Amino acid sequence: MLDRIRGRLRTFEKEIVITIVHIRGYLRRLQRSPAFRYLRRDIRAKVGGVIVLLVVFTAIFAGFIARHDPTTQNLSNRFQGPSWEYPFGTDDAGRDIFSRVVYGARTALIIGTLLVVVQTSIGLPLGLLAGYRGGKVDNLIMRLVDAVLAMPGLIIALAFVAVFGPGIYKVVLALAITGWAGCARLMRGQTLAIKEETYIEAARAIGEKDRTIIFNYVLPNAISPLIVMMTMTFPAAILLSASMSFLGLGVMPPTPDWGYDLNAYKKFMGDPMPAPLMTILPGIVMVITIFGFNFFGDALRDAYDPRLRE
Amino acid sequence: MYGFILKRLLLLIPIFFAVSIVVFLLLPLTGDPARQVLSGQGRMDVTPELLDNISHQYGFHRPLYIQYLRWLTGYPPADPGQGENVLVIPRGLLMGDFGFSYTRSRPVASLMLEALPQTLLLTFTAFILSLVIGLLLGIFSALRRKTLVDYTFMGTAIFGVSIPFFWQGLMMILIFVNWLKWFPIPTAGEHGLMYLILPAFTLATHSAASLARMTRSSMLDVLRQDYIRTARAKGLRERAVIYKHALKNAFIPVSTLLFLRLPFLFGGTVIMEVVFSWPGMGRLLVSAMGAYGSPAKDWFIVQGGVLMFLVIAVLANLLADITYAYLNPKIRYGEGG
Repeated sequence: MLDRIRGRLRTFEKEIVITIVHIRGYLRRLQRSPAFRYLRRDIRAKVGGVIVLLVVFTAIFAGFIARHDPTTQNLSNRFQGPSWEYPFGTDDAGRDIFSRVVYGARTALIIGTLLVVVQTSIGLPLGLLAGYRGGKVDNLIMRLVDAVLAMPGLIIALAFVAVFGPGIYKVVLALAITGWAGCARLMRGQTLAIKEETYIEAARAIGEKDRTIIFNYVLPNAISPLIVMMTMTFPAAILLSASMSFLGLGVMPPTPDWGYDLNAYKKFMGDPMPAPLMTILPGIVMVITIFGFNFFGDALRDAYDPRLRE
Repeated sequence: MYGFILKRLLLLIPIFFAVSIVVFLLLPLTGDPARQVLSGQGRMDVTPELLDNISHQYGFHRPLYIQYLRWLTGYPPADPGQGENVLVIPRGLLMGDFGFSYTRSRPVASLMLEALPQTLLLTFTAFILSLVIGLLLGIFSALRRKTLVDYTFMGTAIFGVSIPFFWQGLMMILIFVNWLKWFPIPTAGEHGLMYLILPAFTLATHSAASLARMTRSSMLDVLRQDYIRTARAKGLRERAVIYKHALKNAFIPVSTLLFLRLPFLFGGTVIMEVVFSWPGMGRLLVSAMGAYGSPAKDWFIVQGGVLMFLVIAVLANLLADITYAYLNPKIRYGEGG
């Protein structure tokens, strides 16, 4: 009995070691790859990367960075200007605006991450299927993709939330209704191009199954443009979800959200300083976040696509 | 070319039916249409009898396909014998009847007819603005590649695609209305030229920025081509090379993007109209959708508004295809031309 457990533990240990070796090998190959070398020299990748890392760090450790609870009201402490204690001041309910912005970053990134997962898990298989099978399947899927791509995503998302109600998960689903199509189109294009490669022909010749060809040949070679698209999904998701919450058809309190807060603070814009700072400062954080992702995504796209480099 | 357009026009018919089915289903998807009507009217005293009464008045008790047919064509007509109210049952989308708004007590069609021109005005102005700004910035950046001009323009452009409409709108109001007092305070009743400038410019920013980026990369791509070198080699003036040879070819990919931006612009209009109190379709639509968790929704306005936006998007897409085919003979003759 004990021996068996020991034996299992040993195999488990071995697997961990193997995984670590794999990851190390992958990282080393990544470091030597031309794309990575390009990224290290690109100013956009540096600036964007720092912003992205900062935002991700803030979202994960929101509890340590925020100096106050984002929802605790303190009516004796309303409309404070920026200070060391309240970097962005306090709002009409005496809440610390900086803490709300910090927790809002978490909401924004959760929506972005979930949207990437959902739309990739719909778009990737469909695009792969269309590109790999071709013919009628391809025609049918691409007709649908074209139709969906032509639709105004924001309006469809708003209608979805109006029907099914607000909330983080519903916002994600609402954005995924139209979001998957871009992923599908990209994946189809990639699959079509890869299918023509000699190594696919070779794999066919040695009698590999379709499943093996897809998982071992097509997917690994299509991964880089997919990563670029996933990166670009974040700024779009943050922008759209904040817009939806701003209109009142997105994330609802008590979840802190940039869009919802800005809508709540906009009525104090006409007041004398420091009241307008309530809309200015959180907005700047939001713009810098989206800008960082866009900047990093641009660099990443150029790094993976040498034709675009100048 | 005409065959190509005809084929695309015929394709509109199934698309329209698909879109209309989806839009029609919005109300049944809520689960209880009669309750939606009552909460839209602000009625608190909801009893089973009342729900049943409303359900019959609006014809919600009928099977879904009958309801859809009636919503689309007005057939079968309202049957007072079953308690159906002739006033509130639509005479059919194809007859231009979008139903009767139960929150505003007016036909949805007349509400939309009032709002639509305002939305079109705003979107069209923004479209032209973004076209002019985007093309100019893009071309100049491409011609002055890797200079301060290029970096400034492209830096501005990437900021332009990163600013959310609503926050930019708020900042415009803060700076130009509250602080500088160049423009009047946006109010729902007023919509003259002075009220149009700020929302149109804000709406144009994002599209202008992405157009500029697209134009620049397309232009750079073209300038690398052999025929440009040939044109230069045979001694054409630089001006002729740029305007006659490069610009025309660089415009092909840009033109597609141009019309594909239209749905995006219409999405942005919704936000702009709310921020700037512009009396258009977007504001009507959002207020009918019951923002901020409010149960008071007007589904006939939602259906009409969403349908209108989707139809506009489909038409814009058609326009993009036709322009692309017109500018690019390869497509024109390759596909049923």
